[in-house]
Amino acid sequence: MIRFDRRLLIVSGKGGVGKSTLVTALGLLAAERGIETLICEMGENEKIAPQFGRRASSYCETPLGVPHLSSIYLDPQESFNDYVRSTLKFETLWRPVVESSLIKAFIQAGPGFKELMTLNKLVELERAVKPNGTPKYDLILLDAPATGHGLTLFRSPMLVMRGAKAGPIFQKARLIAELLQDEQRTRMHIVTLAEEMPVSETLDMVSAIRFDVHIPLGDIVVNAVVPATFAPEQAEVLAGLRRAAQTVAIDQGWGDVRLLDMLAAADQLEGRSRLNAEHIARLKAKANIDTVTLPFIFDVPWTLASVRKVGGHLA
Amino acid sequence: MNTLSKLGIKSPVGLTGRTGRGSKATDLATLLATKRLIVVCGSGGVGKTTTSAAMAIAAAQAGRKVLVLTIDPARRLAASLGLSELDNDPRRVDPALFQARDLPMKGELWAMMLDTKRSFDDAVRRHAPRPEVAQRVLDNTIYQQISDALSGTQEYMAMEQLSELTRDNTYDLLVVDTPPTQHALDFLDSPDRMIGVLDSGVLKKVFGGAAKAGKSYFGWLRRSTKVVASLFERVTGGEFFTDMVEFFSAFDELYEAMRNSSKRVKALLKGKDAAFILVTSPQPSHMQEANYFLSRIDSYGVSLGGFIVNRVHSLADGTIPAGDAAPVPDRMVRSLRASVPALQANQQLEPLMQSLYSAWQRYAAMAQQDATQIAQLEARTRVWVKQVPYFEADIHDLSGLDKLNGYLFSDSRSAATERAGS
Ligand SMILES: Nc1ncnc2c1ncn2[C@@H]1O[C@H](COP(=O)(O)OP(=O)(O)OP(=O)(O)O)[C@@H](O)[C@H]1O
Ligand SMILES: Nc1ncnc2c1ncn2[C@@H]1O[C@H](COP(=O)(O)OP(=O)(O)OP(=O)(O)O)[C@@H](O)[C@H]1O
Ligand SMILES: [Mg+2]
Ligand SMILES: [Mg+2]
Repeated sequence: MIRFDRRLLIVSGKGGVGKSTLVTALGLLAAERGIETLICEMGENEKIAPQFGRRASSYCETPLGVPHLSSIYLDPQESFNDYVRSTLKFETLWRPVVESSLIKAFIQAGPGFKELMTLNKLVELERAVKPNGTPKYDLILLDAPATGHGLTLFRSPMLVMRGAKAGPIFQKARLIAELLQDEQRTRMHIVTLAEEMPVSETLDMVSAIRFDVHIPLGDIVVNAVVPATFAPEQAEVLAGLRRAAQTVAIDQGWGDVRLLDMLAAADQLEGRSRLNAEHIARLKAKANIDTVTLPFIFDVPWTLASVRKVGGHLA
Repeated sequence: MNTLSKLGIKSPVGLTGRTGRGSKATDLATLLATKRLIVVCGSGGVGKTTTSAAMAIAAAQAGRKVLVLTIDPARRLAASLGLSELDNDPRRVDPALFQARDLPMKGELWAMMLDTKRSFDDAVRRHAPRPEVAQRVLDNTIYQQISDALSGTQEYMAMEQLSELTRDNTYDLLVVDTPPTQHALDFLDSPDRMIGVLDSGVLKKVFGGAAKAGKSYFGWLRRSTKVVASLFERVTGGEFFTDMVEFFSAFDELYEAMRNSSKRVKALLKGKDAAFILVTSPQPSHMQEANYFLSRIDSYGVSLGGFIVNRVHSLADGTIPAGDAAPVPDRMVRSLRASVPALQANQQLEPLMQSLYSAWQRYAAMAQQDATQIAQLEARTRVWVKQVPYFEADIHDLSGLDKLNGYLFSDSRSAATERAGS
């Protein structure tokens, strides 16, 4: 089960597998327990704050209307400006840098630069304290970008450290790497679906994290697992029903839905359930890591209430 | 948008007349028989790689010499195409594989997997005016670290490969799979973005000049943007800054060739021999992306072939009326017991019908949502929209791909069978 025993929880995984869903569900769960929680979004655009009916938080820590829960969008350019301001201190010095188009281009172009700046903001949030000196947030949830780009993100401190060798940016990169790799403060969970490609990519990611990026790994969260429709002991009566549906003219007192079509729908779900089980077994056999499974939630349309249902299986 | 106009592509605002091109709605079989380039794009995980392979097979079966350029195919799919290693070279798919399954194969099927890093190195060698220039880039430590890590590199390299593969007429048709991107159209922007990163106006001015100034470029740089650069140096650390300068100036002599190559590909993509096919799932988030694609594609000046909605939950029509007060499963049990003697006394029937009914309800809700989403897409576009059902298993072999083709070409195949039958 996922515990909130590290200040920084990173949620990572392939595109569309349910990272934001897990982050939101965890955020709601933690906040309910009175844990002061901040959700950090990255990537192309903000999706979580709008789900709570809030305007995009765009680089401001925004309360989500649930006690103890806020979110922020880590904008790389804004993070960079922050960084420049704090390094150069005086406005006459930092303003020309922040406003320079050369520097803007550099941020876009510099390998690992944008990523590093975003992580720098994360470090600051992790260290933020209240006036009385206690940590501002008990829990920071990072909704990391999809796997490929995600690894670029987490490799950026190393990349920059190798390039910079010394100087202020090197120092920052080192602080970031220290946080990311700290057993006491950080955990990464990887979300996946129980399907061929997502599982293969998850296995690749696990070894990259273990042997290259060195972020302490938490669980693999297998999301949207289709439950079995029928219990094994129902096999016999099910076979009987199938035979009946094929051969006997049944007086269907329940409208124009054919028994055969109902069986076909159930078979579809059974097929997926079986496939999910196979891939979970493959994952467990190869990853050597704890797995948490979350059921497929049959909600149409998908809403915040559906996310809460997912959370119900985490508690 | 900005990048496009920067590169001299006319602003497309208000060019609704362009839709005319897509509106002829050439069916998929005809596209595959007549086009020379099919680009398959869509959100992550929707089935681009699978459908690319399937379409390439269909075109080859019909007699063309087809190359499918795949990107990160699932291992089992790659293996079933005979692609065991990522070698960046086209490989002929053994026709015996088709014979063994009684599948016709009149043409030739070739397949290759994109190796981003190798493609980048090859492109550097190709575009460099002299071998020393290429070597300087290849030796640059920053280049070595980014050439397969920088986001967008994969898309850009797919485009570069496209440029190379279309230099001669080795293949009748190229089917191009694309990497997962946030927006399907990111693929088209990638060369601009990539070259833009390496060759942004300001950087070029500064480092281009720096490169010409030779060894003294750092001194030159100080003079040119003295204040900002020295402050920036203070922010980042001197050595890092110097390395970056070296990186950008190493690329200096490559920009022009890179830009030309990208221009060529873009002209090709906009030409009458090319068509784009968007793959999507019926999931609302993917459909939103499909609608965005539809609203933007005209402005790119490329022609939209059609949509493939993959992984559709489909269900025969039917409703269960509220009827009498008894819950549906109870009614079903009653009626089954009445008409099927074998089930009359079976105690297991009740829980079974409970499970069956709730499974059907869940599935029906998804099928309903899918149908609504697809109808909305169809209402918005004049091109064809094909549906492929959600199969019970992954598609990883030729038989699976053939099954998928049964849905992509349902109309033409049944026409063919009719002809054969008459
Ligand atoms: N447990 C679940 N059961 C059913 N559907 C789910 C489940 N979890 C997520 N989904 C569906 O998947 C969609 C995508 O989920 P989510 O946005 O969390 O993924 P993501 O990994 O954050 O995607 P991205 O990579 O695009 O940020 C959701 O909108 C929802 O429709
Ligand atoms: N209609 C379908 N029914 C069931 N499974 C499918 C279907 N289409 C594709 N798949 C499976 O879904 C997975 C993803 O498909 P594929 O690799 O083609 O997607 P993609 O769009 O290329 O993904 P990516 O964006 O990661 O490159 C594969 O394992 C494939 O076998
Ligand atoms: Mg997300
Ligand atoms: Mg793919």
